[in-house]
Amino acid sequence: MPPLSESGFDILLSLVSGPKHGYAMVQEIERLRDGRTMQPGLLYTTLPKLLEAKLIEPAPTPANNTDARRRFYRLSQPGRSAVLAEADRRLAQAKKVQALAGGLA
Amino acid sequence: MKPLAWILELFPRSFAKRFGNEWLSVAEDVLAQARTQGRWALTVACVKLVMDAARQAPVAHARVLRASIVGEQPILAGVGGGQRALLLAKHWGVRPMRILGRGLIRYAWAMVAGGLVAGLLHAWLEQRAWKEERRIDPSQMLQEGTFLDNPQALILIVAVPLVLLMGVAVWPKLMAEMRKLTIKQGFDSTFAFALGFYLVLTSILLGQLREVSTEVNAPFAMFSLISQTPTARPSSDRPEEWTAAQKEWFGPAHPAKETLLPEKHAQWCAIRQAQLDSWQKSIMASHSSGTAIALLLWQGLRTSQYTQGCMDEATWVRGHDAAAFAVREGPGLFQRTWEPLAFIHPIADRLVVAHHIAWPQLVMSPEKYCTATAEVMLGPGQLIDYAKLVSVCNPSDGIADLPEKSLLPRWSWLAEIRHNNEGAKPMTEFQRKTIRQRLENTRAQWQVDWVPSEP
Repeated sequence: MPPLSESGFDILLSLVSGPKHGYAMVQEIERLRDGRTMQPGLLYTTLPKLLEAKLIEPAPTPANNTDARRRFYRLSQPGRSAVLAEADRRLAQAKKVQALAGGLA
Repeated sequence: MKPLAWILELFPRSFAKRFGNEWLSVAEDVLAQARTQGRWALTVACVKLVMDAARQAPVAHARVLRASIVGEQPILAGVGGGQRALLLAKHWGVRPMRILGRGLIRYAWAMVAGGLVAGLLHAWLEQRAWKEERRIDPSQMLQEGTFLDNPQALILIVAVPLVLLMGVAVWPKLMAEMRKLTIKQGFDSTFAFALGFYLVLTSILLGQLREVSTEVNAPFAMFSLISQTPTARPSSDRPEEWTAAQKEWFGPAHPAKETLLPEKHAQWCAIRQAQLDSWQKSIMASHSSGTAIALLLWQGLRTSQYTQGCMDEATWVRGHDAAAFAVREGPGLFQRTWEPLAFIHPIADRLVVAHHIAWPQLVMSPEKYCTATAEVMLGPGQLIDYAKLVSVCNPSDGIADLPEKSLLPRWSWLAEIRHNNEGAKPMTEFQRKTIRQRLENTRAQWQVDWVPSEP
């Protein structure tokens, strides 16, 4: 599987804890990124790609939803695998960087 | 919130249809959250929102365009709105043509007048931008001609689009077929037809089809030539098969692949440089497309990386920058918009070249080529080799050999040759010294057309 883009990975990560609508994803991403937010334009230009790749899928709207315009999304099974694969890839990369940095010290 | 709806207008219609409501909902939530943090936070959030839309809208448009070209559905996954989006994407280029065609039939005079005004306005704006950027003496402008003196430009700016529009109106059946083809192939046939028609008509109207074709294709012939960078390699990997001459140049004991003998390195570099110089000279002498030349220069430099150490990396980087500078600094908004595309695909370059033929005044000045070339020749810490600079920047020997009718149908071509070759005064010693000094001080800002006056 090719590496995920930064924004794609962030969106997938934000959905790990359960189905969410756009603004909830933005908030979760902000929390995950330590305050750095994702703007709605980037969110909604990345979402179609993830939908196309079937990494996420539409989720049913909960009964307590207050805004009818909101749509909910959740991670699909391939999406979960993609998150794990990407996390592994990044971990391996970080280890390489650490090894290199050790060589510098 | 109306301003948000306006921002949403930046995105393609299919995107707005599918994600517009969601986008609005998120944007409103983001702004509501910012509002609770004060006015400053709200302002920052607004700016970020606009910047984000400005950045992402082209991405969404490109996505829809790509979908229309390759015939894929831009938004999948059964989220709804997909089929409609597909339909919009497929008709992305057809609908405007249909609307224009209908408009022409209903309001023919308004369309003709509008086209004429738009064409002239466009030409005038181009001309003005060019004048301002070149900042040249108005008397020189007379020599080079204005767009009104240039029937080719007028024909292309005004007549060709009008004929195209009329074609759309006159041949509804053809257009209907095109639409069918578009839907069948998933490719915008109307656009392809219009483009092809435009290019063909351009050539015919200019009455110089052969010359145009030669001019358009020649840079690409040269492109393949310069792509094959001369490298010193023996004809065989086995030293026992080498000729006597090869034995003089190559050593079997040398590390793998790099078989050129160290003592021959300088000699080889000189030979190679002479070859590249001669290519550059012939490019300078025979081509008018700034893009083509910059492309060749760039490609030549790119391949120069593999010249067995003849060119160091810093020189290559400088050359690359210079070539990019030559393109970037080309005059005119139109040229600035289209020139970079030529780096992406040869077809784009052909389009650019076609327009250069139509608007000779927009062709980059030879001085710009010289700037780029001279920058290339200027290695770090080196002084200018004026003999070489003149040999590259003064293309008289190449052009003099060409028969007049094989020259481009450029309105000001002959005047330009005269201006560059006969009219150019040799630099005085003072000018040489000042330019040399200035170059050494501020190389990056160097302009060849800057000539100091005598004190």
